[in-house]
This record gives sequence, structure tokens and C-alpha cells, in this order.
Amino acid sequence: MTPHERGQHWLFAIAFILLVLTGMPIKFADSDWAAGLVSVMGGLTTTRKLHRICGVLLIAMFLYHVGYMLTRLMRQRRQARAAGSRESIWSMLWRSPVVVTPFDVRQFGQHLRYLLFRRRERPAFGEMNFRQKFEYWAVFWASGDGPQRAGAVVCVVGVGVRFGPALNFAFIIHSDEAYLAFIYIAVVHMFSVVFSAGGGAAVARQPDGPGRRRRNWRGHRGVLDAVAAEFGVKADDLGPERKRGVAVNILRRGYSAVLLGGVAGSASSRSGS
Amino acid sequence: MGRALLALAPWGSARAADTENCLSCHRFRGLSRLDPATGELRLFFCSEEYQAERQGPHAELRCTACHEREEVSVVPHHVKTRVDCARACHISRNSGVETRFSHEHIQETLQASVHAPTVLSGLPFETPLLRVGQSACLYCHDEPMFRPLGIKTRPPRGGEHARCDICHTDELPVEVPYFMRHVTSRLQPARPVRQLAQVCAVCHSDPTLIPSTGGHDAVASYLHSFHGKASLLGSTDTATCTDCHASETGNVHAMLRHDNPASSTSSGKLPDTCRTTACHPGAPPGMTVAAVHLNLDLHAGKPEFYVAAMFIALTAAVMVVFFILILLELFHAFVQRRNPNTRSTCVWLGRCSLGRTDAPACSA
Repeated sequence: MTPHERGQHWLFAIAFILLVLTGMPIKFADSDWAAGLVSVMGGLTTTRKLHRICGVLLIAMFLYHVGYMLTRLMRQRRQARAAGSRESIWSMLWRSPVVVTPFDVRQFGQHLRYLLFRRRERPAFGEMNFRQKFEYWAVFWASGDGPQRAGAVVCVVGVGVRFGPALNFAFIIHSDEAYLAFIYIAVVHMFSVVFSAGGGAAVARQPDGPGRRRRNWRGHRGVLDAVAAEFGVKADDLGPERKRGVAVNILRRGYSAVLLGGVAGSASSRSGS
Repeated sequence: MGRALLALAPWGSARAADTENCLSCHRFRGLSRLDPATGELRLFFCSEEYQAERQGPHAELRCTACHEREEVSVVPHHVKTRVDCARACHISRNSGVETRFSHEHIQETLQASVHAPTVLSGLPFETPLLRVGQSACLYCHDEPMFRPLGIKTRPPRGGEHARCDICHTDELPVEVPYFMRHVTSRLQPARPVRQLAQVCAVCHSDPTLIPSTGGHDAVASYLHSFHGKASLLGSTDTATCTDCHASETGNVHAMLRHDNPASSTSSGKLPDTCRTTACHPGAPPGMTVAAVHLNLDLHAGKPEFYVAAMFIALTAAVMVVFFILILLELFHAFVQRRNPNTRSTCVWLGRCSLGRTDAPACSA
């Protein structure tokens, strides 16, 4: 990822965290913690306003990202044209790292076989593996869903369109989809980033980045193979492994503690009830 | 003048309503009796302060205004007759003049409503909510108590009525403090939003009564709506059950079934009920199609149910798949810890996965 793309990611992340903090108490309004959290945030009116502001920010980020991706594609096309290539824009789009291809389905099967000890090596994932592509398009869908919900609400509160039934569906879809996004990000995405091999596409373009080689090696072997081939060497010869950074270790242990604490808390509340 | 008025005021002075001296026993907390028929311990405490400080409208009544004299004049009391709130009573004023009062007209209004006493008495409660002698009004009402206004107050300097003296040079009627509390109490809702939902839930969330009260848990669906969630999160100005279901006059005793064209929740009147100036002025009529009582039961067969079920299935499917992947990843990491320099598959198999016997240790 470029610094620009990282900036987009963190703006997305901030908006998402604030949306979770302001939205989950409303979804789980009958929970003990919900009223306390709303009270901490300044009451229901403030919470709802904050939620909508963050929703608008998320939609704005979505539109910005779509524009950014299109601009990037057009720039690549111009560069290809300047280099004499006649590759069509559809072909370039197909080669984009975010596009899901049958190859990803194949790699998913290979990865499953590897995890079941039926294959010796991990598949050589490229810049984005199947899980990262799933996350990318899930977030794309979730943030793109915002205008639809906002539109339904606007219709109801005063524009005058007779669009009432849409609110029932918007209410269910918005709420359940947000919950799916939340638990996915909190569990799977955080696991991918903190624990798993090839955790983030952010590191894939930095094969020699500090403290990340081991994860890149395992998670984005395809990229390293391509880089090694470019320099005429073997990927295995790129140097010794480095130890994991201190920050990554702290993050791993902190996430483990939060995850175990959450599981224990959930179990105790269930046994209590 | 003001001090003379204070001397006459009933504040803190024992009233003559307990002329039958019932409080000589019932003022003691814990006064109780073991019911030989049911084996239940029944409490009969009445607050002495309720009468002495006139904390509610019934403090001006004698006990026998509601309870049958013949049944309570013997000890232990043999109460058999249900209290009839529609019976005329006599309110004892400070002036000594007794005023006739009755809830009879409320009874008449109720009789024409969906909550007619005949309907309530026929409800098949699994465990009866009322004991022998208790009024059917107690399904919804508690013993009425005056409530101070919900704002912080402090006693004014010079006594409670010193400010009155600033303008009112003539003597104020002696009942002013009582009526002040009576009126300020009526200026606010009888119950907070959540408490009101709890009252309605007694019948409308009872599984044995749901078939006869609309077919689904109306209070649960309310609590899942925008209004219900707001009430759970502390909002005091969100719509309660009575805001929509009471008639245009706000008389909660005149509620009608939603299929009655005169009901405030009938399809013809619901848009106007939502679009009052206090709630959603100017909203399009179509907003009423957004269900406040969205019934997501399978048997209701609504399309919203299938959308909700699809999302639950989607969430479960996604999380199950990725949980399995996470567990397998963790297991691989665990296996690899035993021999970091060898691939986890080889560690697991206990031999080289390529079948080599002379290969050097391979890199993980």
C-alpha cells in the first residue's frame, strides 16, 4: 500500500470504529452496557448525530476510494499506452489485485488442503490473497450500502416519497449487516493482521520491510517470487529471517488478551443468565 | 397572612381520613397473615405518611370507601368482595365538607374500549395476577401517589408559601398545597416510558395471552422498534404505548382495537396519529407502513422475516468458515513451534512430506 492508501484505510478504520461505538448500543439497546455507553457518549441524541456524521464520512470515503481506483486505473492505462502497450482497460482491470478470479477459488482450495496437512506448502499468494479480497469487497459493499439506507430514511422523514416499507428492510439490513461487519473485522480481520501469515496487503509491496519478511514470505510468496525473478535470483536467497518487531508482539498479546477476555466474559454472562 | 395560612395547611399534619383507625394496625411494616388456603404470606402494610401527608388522591378517603365495612370490621378480615373503583365515594376536605366523587364515567369509557372489564376478567392468566378483593384497575394502575415535578427544587426562604405572599395579599384557599401537588403530578406522565411498557407487557407479552391479545409479543416488537430502543437508552420523550394507542383526546381508557375505524391506530387514522406536532409533523403518510410492531415470527410469513433469516444465515456461514480457517492456522502455528525449521506438514506427518529420506532440514 502507498501512504495515500494507508491514509484511506485509517480514515475508514476511524469512521468504522466510531460507527460501531455509536451503532452497537442502538442495536443491542436491551443490553446492560448499551445505556451506559450511550450515556458516556453524551446521550442518545448526541450518539445518533455522531453515528450519522460517521456514516456520511464513510460514504464520502467510499466515493473517494471509487474515484481513486478509477484514477489509478486510468493512469496505468496512460503509462501502458506511453510504453507502447495496446492492452485494453478491461484486461488491466482484470489484472487488478482486488479482482476476484477463479485462481482465488483454486488458491482457497490449496490453502485449505495445506491447513489440513494435505499439501506441503502454502499457495503462493499474490499481492492480495482470497481472504483480503473478501474483506475488501465486503467493506466495499458495506460502505456502499450507506446511501441506500440514508435514502430510505430521507424518504420517510419528509421528502414526501411514499416509500415506507423500505424502512423495515433498511432497518434489518443495516443492523444485521453492520453486525456481520463488526464481528468479522473484530475477529477475522484482526486475526489476519495480527496473527496470520500474509496478514496485510500493506506489507506485500515492501518485501524487505523491517520485521515483516517472515510474514510476507509465507503470505505473499507469489510477490516475492516475482520480485526475485525480476532480479534473477531465487526467492529463498533473499536473506535470513528477521525476528518479529516489538510492536507486533505487543499487538499480538494485547489482541489475545482482549479475545480471551471477551470469550470469558461472554461465557460468564451466559452462565450467569 | 402567610404564616396563618401555613398553620392551616395540611402539610405534615395528620388528617382525619382514618376515622376508622385502620392505621393503628396497618401502619406497621411486616403486618402479614399466612393464608391457610394458599399457604401464601400476605402483607397488609399501609404507609402512615400516605394519609398524614396526603401523598395521593386516595388519602382523602376512608378505608371503607373502597373496602366493604362488613368484611373489614371483623378480625381477621374476611375479604371476599372485589373493590369496585366505580363506586361513588366521599372525599373529606379540610373544610369538613365531604365531596361526592366517582370513577363511574371511566368505567363506562372502559366498557366501550378494548380493555373492557368483562374482557380483562376473562383473560386466561396462568397465575391470577389479582388476589381476592383487589380491583381490576390494578392490572394497569398502582395506588396513585403524587409525584413532584421532575426538576430540581429547593425550599424557598421563609417557608413554602412565602413567594405566594408576595403577590397574594388575600388568604389563599387552604387546599392550595394539596391541589398544587395534584396538578403538578398530572402534568407529567403517570409512568416513565419503560415502566409503562412493563405494565402493558403484563398481558401483551404473556405467552398464554398472546393468542388473545394480537397474536404476537407486542411489547417485544415495540422494544425492537426505533421508539422502544430510544426508551431503553434513556429517552424520556420518545413515543410510548399510550402515545399511539390512546384516542385523540389522550384518554387511555378509550383504547380501541386497531381494526376499529375510530381507533387512533386504524389504517385511516394512523398517519394523523404519527403526524401530530409533538411527533412527526409533516411526515408523509407512507411512513406508517414502517412497522413499529414488526412481527418477525416464522409463522407471520412476512418478507422481512426472510431477509432477517438470510442475514443470520450469512453471518453464521461466514463466521463458521473463517473460524475454521483461524483454528487451523493456529493449529499449524502450534505444530510448527515444535520444530521451527521444518514445515508444519512435515512436523505433523513426522516425516518429509515429499518422501525424501536424505533431505536436509527444509525451511519453514
